[in-house]
Formats: sequence, structure tokens, C-alpha cells
Amino acid sequence: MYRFTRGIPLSATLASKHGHVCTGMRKMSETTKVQTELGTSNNESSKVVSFATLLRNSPFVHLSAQKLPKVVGRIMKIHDNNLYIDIGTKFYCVCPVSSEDLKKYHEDGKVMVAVKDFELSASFLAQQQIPLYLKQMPHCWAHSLNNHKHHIFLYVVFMDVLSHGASVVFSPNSTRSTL
Amino acid sequence: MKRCAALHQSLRTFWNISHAPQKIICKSTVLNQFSQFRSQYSTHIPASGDISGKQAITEPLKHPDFFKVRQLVSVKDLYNNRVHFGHKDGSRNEHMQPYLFGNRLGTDIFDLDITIDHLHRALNFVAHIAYLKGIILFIMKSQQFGHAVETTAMTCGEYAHTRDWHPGLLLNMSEQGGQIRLPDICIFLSLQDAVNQQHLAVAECGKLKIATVGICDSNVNPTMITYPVPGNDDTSESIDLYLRVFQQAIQIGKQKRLEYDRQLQPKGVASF
Repeated sequence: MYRFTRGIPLSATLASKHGHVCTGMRKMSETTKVQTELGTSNNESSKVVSFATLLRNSPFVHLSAQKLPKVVGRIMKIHDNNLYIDIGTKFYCVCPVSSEDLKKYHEDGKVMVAVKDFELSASFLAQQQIPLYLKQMPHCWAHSLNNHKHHIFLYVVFMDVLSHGASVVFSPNSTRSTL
Repeated sequence: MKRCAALHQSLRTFWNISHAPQKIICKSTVLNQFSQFRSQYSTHIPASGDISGKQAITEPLKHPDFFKVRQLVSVKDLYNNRVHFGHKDGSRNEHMQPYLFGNRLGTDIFDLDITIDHLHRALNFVAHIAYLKGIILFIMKSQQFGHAVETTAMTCGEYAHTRDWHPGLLLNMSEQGGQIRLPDICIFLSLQDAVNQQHLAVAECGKLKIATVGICDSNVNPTMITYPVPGNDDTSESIDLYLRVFQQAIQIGKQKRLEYDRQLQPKGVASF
């Protein structure tokens, strides 16, 4: 994996055939919550779009089935040498960072993440119930988009946010407390 | 709406809502706490449970969408808030298969055209229950969203239980002494508890004939839920959307009831 990612300039990655995916994922992770109010969701002027159309044009579907799709994520929170990155899918990812690399990242900053798995789960397909909190961590590499000159390689770990092992869980809404 | 009317009828005969006691006693400290908060935050008079006039029940039931809950949320809102994401195909529950659009990159995708219909039905039901002054209990065992659920319940003057569920909390409530009023409906924001087993309250509600509304992810069993809503229950955007629309539906129902009760005030009352 180290060989795979080393030497690829940032511009080439963005301009590659998956470049539109990166842009799409950026849009996906930056989607703000739609505030629904009474009578404003169904405007006569807006067209009613079916879900199939929405999904077909979604960045998640535009991802190709490669082993390490590269997506752009937004750092939701930095806590205790960990980056909590939102990439627009069901779960967010947690990335441990060394102390000297920590200052290169800031909240709401963009990082490029190479995703191995969208959900941390065991591949015991024979079982009906799959434990969603596990100890194996898939390996990913992440890129900081703030620094174009250096290639910064990180371990990005995908975790089920409801796992018991997480002692502190953060959400994009900073006012929500943890238990 | 036929089903709604029959359910209300069964609710009334089962619980004798018209003769329900005024005081609500419960062993759980959380419910105790919220019974105090309810009188502060409730938009109408405290829980007496009485239904003033048969007309109060029959008039809204004649309308397919009396509280206009279909305007609260659209497919685009669900899509923007990631409601269509399910779990992996390996952890899929066979009963959720009809609600799925398909599977992409190992992730189950919900068909939001189906979800929106279920969500509208659930919101309509919740609004009707709020209109009839029913007790609504939000249930979710989650470290991440427990506080949000409690805050939402407090804001709309209802109840929430987001801690460890003691077995028999609903079943054995009458043994705690005093007069008890059980919840009329339970809204499950997630059907699983902290250890990824089905929440104990689902079976208890089934035994007590308490109607349930439940957000069903792709790895849960929806068969025991009265109004299942297939969708994502793990992302904060999705949970916030559900809480927002349920809160709005409850507040609409209560507001309508307040207006109706004001109309029924005797005309001879002098106002100084």
C-alpha cells in the first residue's frame, strides 16, 4: 500500500478519472442539514425527483469498485491525537495522528482519505449477525489537502461509532454531550 | 385511516383513557423527571387523558392527512440526511429486503420512495396520538444520540428512555404501587440496544399492545413494529431529521388539540 500511494502527486489524483468523485465526495461531506419547515418542503415550483434519480447522480454511486477509493473528507473534530473525519457515508472514520503531524490539521479542514472499507465489520458471511464492533482495523491512507508539497501518510481507521471501545464519541453538532 | 380508527378504539377500550388517573407514577427516575418537566414544557394542560367529546376523535380521522405531516419531509430531505444508507449485506435482516433499493459496494441502500411513505404514515399516527393527549415514549439506547433524544422529548413535552432498560419495566409497572399510566405509543429511534441485540422494550410493547413506531435499519427485525420506518439509524444527520419531524408532528397535534379545546369553552364564561 505504501508503494501504491507514494509518488502520486496530488494534482494527478484530483485530475484523474476519479477526480469528479473527489469533488463529489467533497460535496457529499459538506451537505448541510436541510431545515424542513411547515409547507416549505413541497414547493410547487420544485420538481419532484425520484429516489432512483437522486441515487444515480449521487457521489457514492460514482465511486468505482476499486480496492482503495479515494474520497475527500472533512475533519469534524480533533481530539487526543485523533482525527474524526466525515466522508459523507453512514459512518465517519477515526484516524490516529502523531503529535508532530497534529498541527497540520484543523477542524473543518479537508483531507483525502483512501477507503478500504465503509463499515467496520467482520466478513463472516455465513453468520446472520455480524458483530459491528471489532478489534481489527482496516488500513487506509489519508492525505492532507492543506499541504500540497508534502505527502502525508496517515492511518485512517474506520470504526463503528457505536462500538463499546470508543470512550469518547463526537458528532458534528458540538453541543451534543457524550455519556 | 380505518386502521387508525380501529387502533384508537382498541386503545380506548384497553386503557380506559377516559377514566385514566391524573397522577403518573413510575419507578424509573427518568420518567419521573420528565413528568415534572412535562408540565413546564407542555403546550397544553397536564396529562389528564380525557377526550372531550366524541367529535374530537372522529373529525380528524375523516381526513387522510389532517395535520399535514406530508409537508414536513420529502425524499430530498431524506437523501440529504443520508437516510438511504444501510449496513453491510452480510448483516442484513431478511425481513428488511423488501425495503431495500439494492446493494452498492457492499452497503445496502434503502428505497427512499418506500421509506417516505412509511415515514408519512408514522408521522400521521404520532400526530393523532398527540392530538388525543396520548403519552409518547421515545426509546433509544445509544451513547451518541441519547442526549438529543432526551432533549427532543423534553421540548415537545413527552417522555424518553435512553438508558439501560430493566427487563419488565413496562410489564411490571403496576406492581410498583399507585396508579400507573403506561405509554400509549413508543417511538424507537433504533431497534437495537448497546450490545446490538433487539431492544427489550420491543417485546414488552408487543405484549402490552402498545403501538410502536420504529426506525428500522437493515440489520434489525421490523416484524414487531406497528409503524416501521426503514432507514438509517447510525448517522447524526438522519437521527436529527427523525427527531425534528417527530417533534414537529407532536407539536402540531397538540396545537390542534389546544385550538379545539378553546373552541369548546362555554360561552357563558365572562372574561374580565
